Amino acid sequence: MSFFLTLLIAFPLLAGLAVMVFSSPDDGDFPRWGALVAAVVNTCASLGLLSGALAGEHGWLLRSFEEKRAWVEAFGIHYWLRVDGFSTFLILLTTVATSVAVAASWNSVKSRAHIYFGSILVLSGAMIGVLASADLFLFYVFWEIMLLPALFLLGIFGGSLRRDALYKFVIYTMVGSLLMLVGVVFLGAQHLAARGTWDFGFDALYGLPLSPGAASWAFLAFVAAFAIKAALFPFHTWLPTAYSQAPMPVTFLLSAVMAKLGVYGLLRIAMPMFPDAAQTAAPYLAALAVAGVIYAAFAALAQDDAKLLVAYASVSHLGVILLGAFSFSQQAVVGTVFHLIGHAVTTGALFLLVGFMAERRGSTLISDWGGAARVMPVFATFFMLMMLAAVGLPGLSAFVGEFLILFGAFRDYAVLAALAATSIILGAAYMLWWYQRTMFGAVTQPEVARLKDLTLREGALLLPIMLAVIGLGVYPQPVVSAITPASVQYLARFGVEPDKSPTASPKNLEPLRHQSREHAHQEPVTSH
Amino acid sequence: MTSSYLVSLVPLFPLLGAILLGLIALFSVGSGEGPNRRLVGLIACLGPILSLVVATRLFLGLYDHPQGYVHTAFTWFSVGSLHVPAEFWADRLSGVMIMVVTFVGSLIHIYSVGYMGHERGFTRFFAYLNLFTFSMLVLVLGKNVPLMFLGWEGVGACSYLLIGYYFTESEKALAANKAFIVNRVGDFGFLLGLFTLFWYLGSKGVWTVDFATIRAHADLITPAMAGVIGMLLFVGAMGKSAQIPLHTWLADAMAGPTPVSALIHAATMVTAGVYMVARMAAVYGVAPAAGHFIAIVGMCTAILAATIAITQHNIKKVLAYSTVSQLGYMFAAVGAGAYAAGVFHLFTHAFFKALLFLGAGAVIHAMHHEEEMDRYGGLIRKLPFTGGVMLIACVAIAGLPPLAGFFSKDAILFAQWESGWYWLYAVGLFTSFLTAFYMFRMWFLTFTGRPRDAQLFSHAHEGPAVMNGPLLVLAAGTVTVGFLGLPEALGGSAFAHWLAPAVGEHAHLPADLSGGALAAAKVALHRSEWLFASFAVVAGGLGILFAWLKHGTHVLPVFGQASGLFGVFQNKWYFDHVYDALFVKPSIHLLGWGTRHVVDPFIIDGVVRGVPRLYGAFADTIRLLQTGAVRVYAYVLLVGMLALLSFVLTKWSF
Amino acid sequence: MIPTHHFLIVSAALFSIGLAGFIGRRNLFIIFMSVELMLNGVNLSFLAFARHLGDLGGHVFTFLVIALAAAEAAIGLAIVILIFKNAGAAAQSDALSVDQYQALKH
Repeated sequence: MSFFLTLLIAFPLLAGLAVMVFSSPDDGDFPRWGALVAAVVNTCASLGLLSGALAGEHGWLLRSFEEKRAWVEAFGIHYWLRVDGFSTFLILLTTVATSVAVAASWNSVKSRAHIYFGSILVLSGAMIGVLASADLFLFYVFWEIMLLPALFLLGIFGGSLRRDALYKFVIYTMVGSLLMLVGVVFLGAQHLAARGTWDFGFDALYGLPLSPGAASWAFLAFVAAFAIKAALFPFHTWLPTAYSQAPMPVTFLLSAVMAKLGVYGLLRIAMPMFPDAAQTAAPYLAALAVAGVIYAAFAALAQDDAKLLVAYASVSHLGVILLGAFSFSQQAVVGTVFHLIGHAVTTGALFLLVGFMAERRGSTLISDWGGAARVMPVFATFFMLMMLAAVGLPGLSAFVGEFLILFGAFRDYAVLAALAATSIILGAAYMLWWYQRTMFGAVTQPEVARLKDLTLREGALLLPIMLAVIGLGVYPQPVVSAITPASVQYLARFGVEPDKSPTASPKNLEPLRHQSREHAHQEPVTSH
Repeated sequence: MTSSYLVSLVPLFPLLGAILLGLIALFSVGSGEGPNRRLVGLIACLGPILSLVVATRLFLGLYDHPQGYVHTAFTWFSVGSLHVPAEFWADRLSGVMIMVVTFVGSLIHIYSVGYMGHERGFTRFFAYLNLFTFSMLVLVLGKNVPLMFLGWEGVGACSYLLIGYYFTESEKALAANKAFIVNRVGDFGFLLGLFTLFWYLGSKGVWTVDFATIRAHADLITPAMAGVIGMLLFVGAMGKSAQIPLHTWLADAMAGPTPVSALIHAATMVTAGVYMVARMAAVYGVAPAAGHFIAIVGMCTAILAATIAITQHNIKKVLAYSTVSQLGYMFAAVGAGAYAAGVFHLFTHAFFKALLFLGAGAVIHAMHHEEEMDRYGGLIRKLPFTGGVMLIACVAIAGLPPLAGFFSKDAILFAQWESGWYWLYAVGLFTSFLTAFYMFRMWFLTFTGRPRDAQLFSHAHEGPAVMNGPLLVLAAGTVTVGFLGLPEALGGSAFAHWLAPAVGEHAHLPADLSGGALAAAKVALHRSEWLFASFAVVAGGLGILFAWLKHGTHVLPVFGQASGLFGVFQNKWYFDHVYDALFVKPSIHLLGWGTRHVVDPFIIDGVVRGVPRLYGAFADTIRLLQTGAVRVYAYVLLVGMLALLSFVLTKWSF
Repeated sequence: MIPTHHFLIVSAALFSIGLAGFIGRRNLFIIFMSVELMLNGVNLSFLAFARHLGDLGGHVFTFLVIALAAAEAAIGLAIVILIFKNAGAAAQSDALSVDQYQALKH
């Protein structure tokens, strides 16, 4: 029994509360430094998650760092934490994203900094809690804790239309949360009915015998909760408004991690706890996801504000991820989890860049830009790289996930996957067009001519992201092989064997090989 | 052989060069002068030249090892049945390709040092160019489809970056966008083809994306399925190799610097589609219908692009459409199953088209970046060397013996006839006439007659040695490489024989003949080869004659808007207009506008805001009951209590 | 011994008189007294049942109600006095009418 995960969760939570409580508005830089130190310490600590790396046959086997204590014994509620291939990298992502978000807000937050930085830390702790929970009730608690700081950050520090954004955000998330609560209680009660005791542990709830009718309602309740968070069409409209109104570092955190938690919830809870209902409903849900892919891509094409453009782009990409989450091939599942990370890195980076643009020019309207590449070449280079990553260029982070998802989904839903694949055309269209209108062309506005290139601080923030973008694209295999065992376990709950070819034994193929001799080939010379 | 690791080295050098140059470019921002151009040029040329050395070593080795060399660098990703290693494969086919890419690539790098000498962003240019070389090498060496796709998209991205090299001009940036997006349409088809292929073969028990394994099991695929897969993959080739209907980007891509046009948009990247079809030869072998379709598309593209080329005024546009047209020829060949002929044309075309582009570059360089032929004329007096080498290239592309283009084009046309596609043969022959016409039209307009812009003319001068050297080497290649692919009548094609282990031999004679029948068939074959070759020569000669009559003899050719059919040609058959009206405008102004201004704010948000509003309205109604008068409440209470009491007393029995 | 239902009749009578007063009168003080009357009616029935069943629970409840009534009277009267003070001279003549307090509904 270790305390590692508890520390990882509690440290930012407590540090965040401390920053809020023990500093007053006129404390100067204390909240900034406090939050930065806490975030960086937690980031370094989270690297310990990688200590589970063992050189096994399949690459890495991850340690689970399990902690289990009774919490409310009468209702079978545990304080139960552990990680696996699905959650490990998302936790790492969360801690890194928190550090980046804190550093990126350094100058942009002027007043009530203690609330701001404290909220970011609390948000981070809650998100890690969601990812590490192995008990449904605990999961729910962290899920709800997560909403509060998000509401603060959006409602207090948001842009001029934050009321509207907050309104939609609250309605959507509250509806989702309530539905999830119903589902949580339902599952607990089902356990009571089937096994005679209350229990909310994940392991107890997987494979619970459920009556089909009730199960499909409860499944839909969970799906609603998670799909709203992951902006499944048509529950996506909160996202563009919230993303464009929140301060850009917060949007960075929301887009990089929080939206991903919806997908994580689907993979961890909604799908595997109701395997039959999930398999029945998956084609329809996948169709919604694909509708979202195309819809949001067209919407992105028509935006004239860069914030909204990137927000819609991320709705479109989330659609692809959701398509993967509703597929049952191993490639799609691994691709989904991988893309959660790969997409977080690229979209997050784009939001950071948009934030830098807003700080410089005071506007993210595309028409207020033009020709900036000549004025700020380093910025343009980073922007180009992230833009190409976002359109899914192979060798950069978003490709592997997107490819695996479309590849895997094609087996289950060929037409839907083909439709979703149009996003590689539409995505290129809106991204390139945006880049061209922003950075290319002649400089016509004097404000643009005066812009400053990337500062050292900003460059230092982007550098790790850039390395991640390239690293995940060029050598994704370590991450992929760490996700794989969890995906096998996940698919087993649907009775799906990891692909094994029914007739793949070389013997069966031997006669066929001979027939094809006329095409002539010997085995080539090989070495490794 | 222990040298298979060399295969991975080939793409490595340009990659290192690209990284190094990229970092130099990034860190020298704002330092006025920029880095030392000699040093940058040296680093830039070193990458492809080292690759050329390694590639040559491999290529020579392939003579004794027709099965090729494989080297696995690392596992890119591997999930379940999908195993994608970073595995490079130099066989006879990719061996030819890496020679073309590194050889022509090296020459163009050297040329560019001179051509781009005074440009801003010199380092950036070479970083992109090296990155392109790397991507192209990965494309041809990749042993599996996803790895090829990495190169495929990589060259697309580099092409985008280089077309938009002069990014301060919005039109050029837009041309870059167009190239990338149209290519993406093709990539969409390519991906779907890959998915279909994988899962279909998987259903037969073979889970692979590896070219060699696909080839070994291609006969598991039914012809119908192979047709679907072949068509989808060909959509990818259409995009990359600018075939109808995805050809519109290539002419616009001339916005990039001329060496880029030579390397990417003539010699290497645009031929990737042909290479891909040849790689997948086994799959296409199962589906002759798909092959026929490819040949038709190829020939249609060839003639359509040729008709456009005869009306263009911009020297690079003429060459661009000529490239599209020649690519059409290549597809016609591979569609007919004559892979060796197609790849051979690819090979010779790389020489003479690169020469044409670089020559055009020399002219443009001399004329202060003026590309319109309206202002050229009489340049042979100022640029005798450039004019001379371009004349060689023009003769080659016009298909006159004994230059390279004659042999390769002749083989393609002959393959059409042999497949029984007489119409395609006729179209190809007519296109060959048009080709000769527009190439010599270009040459006459540029180099003969009286100068039409005296001022530009007076300043024109030959380029430096770094530019002329590559021209000379390419001209030598144009003259000689054709002899590698002689027709059967002259001893047969060494090139076809070389490629046989990779793509199979295209049999000219039925296999079941022997003895006297064989000898007779051989004589007949040789006779028809001579006959068709003479047709081709006549067509080419007529084209040159027409060009001479129309443009060589006139002192001042008339430029202006063409009318009638030629108007259609000049407007590129209105493809751009139709696409704009059919796809681009509706996407932005109809679908985009609709989602943004109608569906999101009114329909979806309407529901989101409507539900709370409904609650509000309900509450407002209920509120009226609450008057605030305590006595009213008490009355209601009393009435309620009495009602409850009467209910209890009447219904319940005590 | 007095039978339990006698107590209950008195209790019901007290409650009904209180209720009638609560509904019928306008003067705030009288309404308060009516409420006390109703509470006492209830108290009486509590005690009657307590005696009948021999259970002390009824006594406890009665004490609770008495305490509650006292608190209610204290707070209620305090509010009345404050409103009376703030009502202004013209309205003071009518200030004890319950209809004046409709504004408190918000």
